[in-house]
Formats: sequence, structure tokens, C-alpha cells
Amino acid sequence: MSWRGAWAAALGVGLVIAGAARAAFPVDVPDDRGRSVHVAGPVKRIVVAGPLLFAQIVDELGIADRVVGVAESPEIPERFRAIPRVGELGAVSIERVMALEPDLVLGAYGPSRDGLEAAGLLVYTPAPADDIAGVLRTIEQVERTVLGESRAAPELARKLTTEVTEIESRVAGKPRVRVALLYPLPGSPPLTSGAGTPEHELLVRAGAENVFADTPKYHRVSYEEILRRDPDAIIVDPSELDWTRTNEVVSSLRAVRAGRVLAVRPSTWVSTRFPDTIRRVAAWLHPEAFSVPTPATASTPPAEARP
Amino acid sequence: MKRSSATLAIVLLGVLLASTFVVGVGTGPVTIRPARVAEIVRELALGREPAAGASETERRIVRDVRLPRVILAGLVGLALAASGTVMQGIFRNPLAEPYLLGLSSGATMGAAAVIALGADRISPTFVPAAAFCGSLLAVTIVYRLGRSGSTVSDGATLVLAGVALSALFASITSFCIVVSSPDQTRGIVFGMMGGLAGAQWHQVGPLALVVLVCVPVLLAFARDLDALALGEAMAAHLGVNPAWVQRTLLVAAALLTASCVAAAGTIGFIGLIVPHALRLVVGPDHRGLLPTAALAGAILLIACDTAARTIAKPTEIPVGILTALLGAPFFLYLLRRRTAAGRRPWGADA
Repeated sequence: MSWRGAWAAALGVGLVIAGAARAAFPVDVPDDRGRSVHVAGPVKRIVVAGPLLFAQIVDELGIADRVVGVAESPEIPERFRAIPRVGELGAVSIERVMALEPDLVLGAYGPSRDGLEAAGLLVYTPAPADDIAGVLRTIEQVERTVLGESRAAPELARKLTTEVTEIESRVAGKPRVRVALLYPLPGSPPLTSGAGTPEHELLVRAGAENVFADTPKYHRVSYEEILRRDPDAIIVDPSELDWTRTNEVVSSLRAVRAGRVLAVRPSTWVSTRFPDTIRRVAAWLHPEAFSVPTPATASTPPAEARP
Repeated sequence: MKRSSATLAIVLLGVLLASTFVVGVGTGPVTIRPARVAEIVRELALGREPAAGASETERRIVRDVRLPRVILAGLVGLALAASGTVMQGIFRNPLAEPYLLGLSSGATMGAAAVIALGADRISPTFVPAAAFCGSLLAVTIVYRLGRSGSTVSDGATLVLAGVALSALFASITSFCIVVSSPDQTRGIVFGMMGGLAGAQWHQVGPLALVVLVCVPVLLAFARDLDALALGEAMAAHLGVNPAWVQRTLLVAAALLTASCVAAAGTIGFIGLIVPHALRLVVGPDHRGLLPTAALAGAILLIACDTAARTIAKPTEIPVGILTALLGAPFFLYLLRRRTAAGRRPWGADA
């Protein structure tokens, strides 16, 4: 099983990184621009300027009480609702962030990011994840930036990978369903997730065959190509369900005619809750694999992968 | 002499349009053999039963993706070129064009306002109706400004008025986008940036209807436009009612522009380039100029769109990028020529 092998290797590498990273302040953490961000001391006040993933990470790591500001988004987790807002995602107000006197601005991107750095604030934005290992690495990097060391991240990574392995074992050997992930765009053909995206890996682990596996990363695919590959099932944003019915090309796809359209919020793919997403997709693609209770083997913790 | 050259031009352009159409339908990211494409188009056109040759997928690609797209491009190009020709004739200004005079941005603003107010949920037909109102508002303002003097006012002033109007409408559109909900924003952006990438049959019908109604109206007034070129006093002397002709034609031009914006978003400069090029070939007589410019507009936009979806493979570029790439330098060239000569570059000095 090459997938299993790759999976175990990824986990192993993750644990090695985690182990090697155990260190106190100051720490240097690599960011999305290939630089090393120097964190001199403990971070007590955090502004979350990035997407939902970052709010989820600080929540999962038990450091949510350090968050003093969040960027506006329709999906802010319940516990951050009462916290001051610092503007739109990708365009936070530099003044409002400064007024909160944060030690760290997490996940800032877009035009205001350079302004935040110029204002002397410590900005940390990790490289976007290409796969599940990338999401786990993001969790670990955020924790190291805030706490100076890895504490909860390795355990969280183990828990998440265990959940994925359990789902994978249920769909193992089942015939793969040909799936496409489609996001309509204005003025151009729809966008899809190909190889080198967490969505692609999650689809494959959920027992799907991504019909656009050969397109690199997030790529626009022509309506002609969508018709030619005619997937058995498609996954769209909940707000695009209407599009699958009204667009003449999409509504004529085999998947739509057979009613095999699943709505998944885009933020749930690159998320700390990705096992839930895989489970939902897998149960939708292979309902028969989920009609029986969890196999006994999955309830016991897997063998330690620590080298 | 002019008359026969115009007839010849119409025949040649007709043949060229047919070939551009064939190339457009035969080209795409998925390779389908030309013989197959021809077979599918023949089947569809004659309503025949599918033959054994082409696969169902190939048939669907040609029928549901390529044909509506090429036909929509042709209709939009035709409508914009015809509006441009008429506007240049009425304003006796070589720089008059639906995009430059603010008709397109007026249409966008109208549609955006209706979506932001939520009125599109009462009836989706409010969106194109509002686009028409916006376009009509733009052309009314431009017309009033153009008539503020005794003759049609100076050309540069008219274009500057168009620039100012476009800026005003664009800012109102941005305001509508900012204050609306994510769903409405999506509606505005998708509606107005539609382009030709997602062309579908249901967009072809309404535009075809508008073209079928408006273009004959424009053609019927071709002789009156020629009379207007001699000056309003002279036109009146020849039995033409200048105000009636101008208003009717501008309403038709606004309707054509708004329908194009509603179907494919803003596509600039087609209405500028095409009439100029054809004026060089068939002369300024509108009876020859209007039909040839309309045909050439269709050819140019189909060709640009075919290029737009093939040159940047595997992705597509919006066709507006290509038309602006051709049109903006052309505009500067006209501006320079006009300034250098100190007069309008075509024979209608008022």
C-alpha cells in the first residue's frame, strides 16, 4: 500500500520536526516568503488576521485566551464572536491592529500585510499547505511561534491522522468514485483542486479518484474539459448549488443528473477539522462502508510511529 | 462605384464570418477532429439523428460549450460595432463609442444597483431592464452635453464627458458591491464580469432578439445618418428631423450596448476600431458602412475570443484584455492624428 507508506513517512517526518523543534525562546520559524521569523519572547496578545484555519489552530492548541483581535469573516468560531474585529480578511485595518498592541499578527496576507510589518508589528504567515502534512506542519509552526516550543501539536497531529487512517481503512478496496471539485469564477472557467492541494489528498483518502488529479494545484479548467471527463460526482461550495442546476453545461453532467452533488464549505478542507470533512465525503461516496459500527481495530491506538 | 464596393465587401465579410465561425467552433482545449465538428454542426442544424461518428461527449462539447460561445461572441461583436458606427455618425465624432462614452459602465451600474437593492429577487428581468436604464441615462447625459452649443459640441469635450461619466458610474458600482451581502456581491461580479467564458444558450436568445429588432432599425435610418453628416440644418432641409433620428438611434444603441453588457460584461473598443477600419474600405456612406461594420464586428470578436481561449492554454484570458490591447493603441493613434491635422480625421467637419 503505497499510500499507507507515504502516510506513515509523512507522520514520521512530522514527529521528527516536532521533536527537533522543542526549544525555548528565542525561536526562528520559516514563513511563506521563505524568511525566518524571529520570535524573541512569549506571545501574550495575538491578532488573528488570516482565514478560519488560524482561529481553529489557536483554539485547538488551547491558546485562544491570548487572542485580542480577529479579522471579519462569516465563519468566525463561536468563542471569538465577542472579540474586537480588525477589518476584512486580507485587508485588515492597520490602525485597529496597532491599537490592540499585539505581540503577534497571525496569518496576515494581502495589501495590509506589508503595512503591518512596516508598523513594526511581528507578522507570522506560514506557507500555504499543499497536503495534510502541510496542515499539520502549519499547526506545529503556529504553536512554536506562540509558545516557543511544540506542546499540544504532536498529540493533535496524532489524533487527526488516526481519524483519517480509520476512515481510509473503511473505504480501502472499494471502487473509487470519479469526483471533481468545482468552484465557479466570474469571467473565467471554474477553478478546481488538482494534485498538490490538501483537497486532492483528502479526496483520494476518502475513496475518490480526483478527475483533475493531473492539473497542478488550483487551476481553471475549461467547460469542455469538464464535459469530457464527466465525473460521477461533484463537490461544490453550498452557495453554488444553484449554479449546478442553472448552468447548462454543469447541469448536463452525469453527476448532476444522478443527483450526486455534495456541498462542502471551502474552509473545511484546509482546517483542523479535516477528518470530519473526509468522513463526510467518504460516507457520501461509500455509504455502505459506514453503515456498520467502527471496526474494533480502529478504536485501539495505532502503533507508535516514533523512530 | 462606392455602392458596388460595399456590396462586394458585404459578400466577402459574409464569407469571412462563416470561416471565422468554423474556426471558432473547431477550436478548443479538447481536440475534436474538424470533420467530426462539421458532422455535429450539420446534425444539429438539420435536426438529424446523431450519426455513429462523434461521441456523445464531443457532441455535448460542440453543442453546449462552443456553439453558444461563438454565437454569443458574434452577436456581441455585431451589436457593439453597429452601436459604435451609429454613435460616431450621430455625434460626428470619431472617438464616440459605447464603452468610451460611458454606456457600458452605465449598464453595469444599473444592474449592480438593482442587485444591491435586492430587486432582482422580485424578478430577474429587472437586471437587464436596469442595465438598459443605466445605458440610456449615460447616452442622455452625453447627448445633452453634446448639444449644449448650437452644433454638436467639440469632440474632445464629448469624450472627456464620457470619461467622467464612466468614473462616476464605476464608483457607484463599487459602492453597490461594498454595501451588498456576499451573495449579492457574487451576483454583481458574476453578472458584470461574465465575459464569454461561461456562455450558455439562454443568454443567446435575448441578445439575438434585441439584435434582430435594433439592427434593422439602424439600417433603416442609414440614409438619414448620411444627411446628418452634412449638418443638422442641411439634414432638416432634406426633410430629415434631426432630433427624432438622433434620439431613436441612440435609444437603439443604448439597448444594444446594455444587452451586450448583460450577456457578456463590458467589452471595450470593438465599437471604435471596426467602424474606422470599414470607413477606410467602403467609405462614409452609412448604407454600406453599417452592415459591413456589423459583420466585421462579429468577425473580430469571434476571432479575439478564439485567441483568448487558446493562446494562454490551459487557462483562458478574458477577451476584454485582447480587445483593449488592440483598441487602446488605436484610440491613441486616432487622437494623435486628429491633433496633428487639427481637424476630424474623416469628412464631417462641422
